[in-house]
Amino acid sequence: MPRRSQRRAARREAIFAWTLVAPVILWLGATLVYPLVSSLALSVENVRIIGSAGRFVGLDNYLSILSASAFWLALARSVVWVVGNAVVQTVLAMAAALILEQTFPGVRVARTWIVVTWIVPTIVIVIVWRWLLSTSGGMINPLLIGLGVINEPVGFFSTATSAMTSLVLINSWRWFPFIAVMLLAGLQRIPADLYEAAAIDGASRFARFRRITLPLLEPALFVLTVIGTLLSFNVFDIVWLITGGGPADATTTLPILIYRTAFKGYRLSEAAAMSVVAMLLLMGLAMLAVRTLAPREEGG
Amino acid sequence: MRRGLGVNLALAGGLAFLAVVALLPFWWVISSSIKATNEIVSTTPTMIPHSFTLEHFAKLLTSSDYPRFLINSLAVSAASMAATVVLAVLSGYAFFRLRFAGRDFLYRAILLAYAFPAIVVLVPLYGMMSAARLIDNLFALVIVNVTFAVPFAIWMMRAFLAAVPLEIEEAARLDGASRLTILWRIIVPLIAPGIASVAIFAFISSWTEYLFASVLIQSDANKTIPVGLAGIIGQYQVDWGLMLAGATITTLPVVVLFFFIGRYFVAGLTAGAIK
Amino acid sequence: MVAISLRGLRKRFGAAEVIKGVDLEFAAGEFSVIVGPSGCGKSTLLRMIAGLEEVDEGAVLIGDREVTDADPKDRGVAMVFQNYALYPHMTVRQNLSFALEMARRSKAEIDAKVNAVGEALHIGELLDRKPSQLSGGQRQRVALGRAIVRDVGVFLFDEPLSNLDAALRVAMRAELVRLHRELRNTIVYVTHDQVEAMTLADRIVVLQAGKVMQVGAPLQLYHRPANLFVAGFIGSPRMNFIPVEVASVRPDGATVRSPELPPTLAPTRVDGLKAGDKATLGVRPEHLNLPTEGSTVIEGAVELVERLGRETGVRVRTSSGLALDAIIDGAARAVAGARLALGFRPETCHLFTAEGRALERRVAPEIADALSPHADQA
Repeated sequence: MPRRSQRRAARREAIFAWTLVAPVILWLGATLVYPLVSSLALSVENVRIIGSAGRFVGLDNYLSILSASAFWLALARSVVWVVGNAVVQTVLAMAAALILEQTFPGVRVARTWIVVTWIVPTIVIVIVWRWLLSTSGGMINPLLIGLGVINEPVGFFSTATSAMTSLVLINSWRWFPFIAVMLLAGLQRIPADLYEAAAIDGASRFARFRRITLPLLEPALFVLTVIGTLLSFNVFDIVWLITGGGPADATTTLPILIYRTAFKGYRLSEAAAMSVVAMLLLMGLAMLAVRTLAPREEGG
Repeated sequence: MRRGLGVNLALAGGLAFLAVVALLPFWWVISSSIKATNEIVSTTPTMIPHSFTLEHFAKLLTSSDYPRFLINSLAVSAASMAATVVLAVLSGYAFFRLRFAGRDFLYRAILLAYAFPAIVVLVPLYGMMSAARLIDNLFALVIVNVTFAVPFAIWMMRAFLAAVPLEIEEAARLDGASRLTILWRIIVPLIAPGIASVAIFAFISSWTEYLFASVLIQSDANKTIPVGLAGIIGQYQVDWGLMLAGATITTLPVVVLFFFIGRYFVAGLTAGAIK
Repeated sequence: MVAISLRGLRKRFGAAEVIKGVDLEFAAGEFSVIVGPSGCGKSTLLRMIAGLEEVDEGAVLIGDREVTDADPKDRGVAMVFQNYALYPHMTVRQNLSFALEMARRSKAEIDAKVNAVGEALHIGELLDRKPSQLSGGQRQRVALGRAIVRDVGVFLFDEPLSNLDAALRVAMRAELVRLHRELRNTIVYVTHDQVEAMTLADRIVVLQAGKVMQVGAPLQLYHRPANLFVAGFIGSPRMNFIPVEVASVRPDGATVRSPELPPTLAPTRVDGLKAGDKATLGVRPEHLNLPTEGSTVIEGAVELVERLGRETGVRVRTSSGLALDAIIDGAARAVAGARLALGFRPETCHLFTAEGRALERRVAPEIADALSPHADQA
C-alpha cells in the first residue's frame, strides 16, 4: 500500500505531466475531436450549403451514399490507388534502401538527400510532372520515343488507365524515399555478423537477402505498409491538382468525391456521411493492423 | 565483405538510376525555368539550356501575387514550426519520461489521429473557423497545420528522449533542480537534434499544405504558395515559364533549410523508427 | 559529519519485495560499503537513502532528521553514479557549478569553490572541456568533484569504479581513501566487488536478496563470517565447503567427519550442536596447503593447475567427487592427473550448522587482536 508521501509525490508528478500535455490535448481536442463529433452530427442531418441549418434525418445520408454507385466506384478507385501505391513504393523503397545501405563515396549525402522528392511541396511536384508529361515541351515523351519504348507521344492523362497509372507513379515517386529511409534504418539494425556467418556458410547474396534480410525486416515492412496505406488513402492534393479527378471521374478517389460533394455539389451532410464511412474503414484497418502487430511488439 | 565487380557495377547502376529518377526531374524544371519560352515548349527538349532569360522570374515576382504568397507561406510555416516544436517537446517529455494515469491511452489516442482522413474534419473545422471569424486569417492555417504535424512530431521525440540517460535527470534532482529546470536546462539542450528534426518536419508539412489552405483562405492577399501558385497555373494555362519559375522559387526555402539541418531530419526519422 | 539510520526498510517492485526489512546504522564519518551479488538490492537501498526510490515501509534518518519523505535535494546527500551522469552539454566547470547555481549562491562563491575542487582533484586544466573530451578516469573525478562541491555530510557511491580498467581502479581506490581521510564525511559505497569492499571499507554490509547477512569490519567478515553466504562471498577464491557429520561434541569444539576427512576437531563454540547433526566445514583455499605437521590431510586427484609465480592454484577432486581449491606455494610440484595430498590446520577451519549459521570460532590471539575495533589505528 503506497504511503501518503508516495501518493503525494506521484500526484505532484502527475500534475506536472498533465500541465505539459494539457496544451496538446486542448489543441487536438478542439481541432480533431470536436470536428469529428460535428461531422458525425452533420452526417445525420440534411445540411446542404455550409452554414445552413439542417434537420435530423437519421441514417438517410448513409443509406443514399451506400446505394450510390458513385460512392462504391470511388471506394474501388481508392483501393486501386492504395494498392498501387503500396506495391510501387515498397519495391522502389526496398531497392533504394538496399543501395543506400552499402558503403560508397558520397553515401552519407545520398542518404540525406534521397528524401528531396518528399520535402518538396506538392504544388511543385504537380508542376514538375504536369510539365514533364505534357505533350508540348514535356521531356518524358521525347525521352521514351528516343529510347524506342514508344513510337508516338502518349497522353499520360488521357485515358482512365494511363491517368491512374501516372498518378500512382508520381505519388510513389514522391513518397518512396520516406519509406526508403525508414527501411534503411531497419536494415542497418541487422547485425553484420549475421551476414558474415551466412557468407562463411556459403550463402549467396540473394540467399542472404531472402533468408536474413527479409525475415528480420518483416516487422518494419509491415508497420510501414500499414502506415503507408493509411497515408496514401488520404491523399487529396496531388490527385486534385493534376487530374481533378478526371478524365471522366477515372481518378476520382474517395477523398476527391467527398471534396466535390461538399464544396462543388453543396451536399454537406452527404459528404460528412461519406467521410465518416471512410474514417470507420480506416480505423478498422488500423486496429486490425495493430492487433496483428501487437504480439510482435514489446509494447508501446 | 568485398564486393565482386559484378555487384559493384550493379550497385553503381542502381545508384545512377536512383539519382536520375529522384533528381533529374528537378534539374529539368530548374534548368528550364531560365530558358526562353520557345525553348521550353519546343518538341525537342534540351538537357542543357540553349537560351538564358530571367523573364519568367521577373514576371512572377513583379506582375503576379507570388511574392505575397511567399511571405504568407513563410509566416505560416515558421509559426507552425514553432508551435509544433513547443507542443511536441512538452508533451513528449510527459509521455516518455513521466508517469501519470492515462498516459498510454492518451498517447495511443493521439497517434490514432493519423487514421483520420483530413477530409473528415474539413467541413466542421471550416464551420468552427467561420464562427471564430478566422476565415481568411492565416492564423487558422497555423492551427490546422499544427494539428496534423503534432502527433507524428511527438512520435519522433520518443527516440531522442530515450537517448538521455535517466541518471542525468537523477543527478540534476540531487543537485536541487526543479522539474521545470530539468526540462529546460538539461533535457532540451540534449535533444537539440530531435528538436531540429521536428522543426523541419513541421515546416515542410506546413509549406506543402494545400487542402485546408484552399478552403480556409479566400482572398488572394492571404493565400499561401500552394494555393496561390495553383491559381496562377489555372489562370495562365500554358505559361510554362511562369510555372517553372514558381516551382523553382518554391523549392528553394525547403532545400536551403534542408541543407543546414537536413541530416538531423533523416536521423530523426530513422531514430524514431527504432522502437 | 553525519550519521545515517535505516529502520525497517521495505520496498516492493510490483509484486516482488526487493528490500525485506533492513535495519542499519552508519556511524558519522564512517566509510561503509554495501556489497552483494547482482540483484541483491544494494543499489536500490542506496537510492532509497538518496531519495531516488520511494520507501514502502520504514524510515530513513540522516543526521537525526527523518528524511523518508524528503526530496533528494533536501537530504544533504551527494551521489556519484556508476556512469557518472555528467551533463554532456556542459563544460566541467558548469557541471561542477550546477548544484551551487540551483542553491542560488553568488558567482564569486561558486567560482571559488569550483576552482578549489578543481585543484584538489587535479582537474583544474580540464575545467573548460566537455565530458566527451575526457578520459574515463577524468570523468570519474569530475563526478567526484560534483559531489564535493556541494559540501554535504553524506556521499553515496553507486559502483563508481566498475567502468574503469584495472589499473585505474586501483589508483582511484587509493584516491577515494585519501579523500575520505581529508573530508571525513560519511560514505555509503555500493559494489559487487568484494576486493573493493575489503580495501575501502571501515565497515562492510553484506546484502543478499534484500536482507542484511552481516555487518562488520572487513577482517571481522573474513575471520568470523556469520553464515555460509558471507563465508562464500568474502574472500577470493571462494571458501571450500565440505559437507560433514558431527561425530561428537566437546566443550572446546566439535569433532566432525566425512568420507574424505579423518575425524577433525573444529575449534568453535558448540551451542545447540549434537552428535549426528549435519554440518558444513569451511576451509579457505589459502589455508589449504601441502601437508605439514599437525595438519588435517585430505587428498584427491589434481584437476587444474594455475601457476601464478608467487603462488599456484590447484583444484583437487576427492574420491567422493568433492572439488577443493587450494593456493599452495609457487614452487610446489603439482601435476594434473596425479594424486595430491593437501592439509589444513584445524584452527583455520570454519563450521556451519545445517541451516547455514556459523558457529563462533575460537581464533588465534593475533587474529583476535586484528578483529578488535581499534586495531587499524594502532
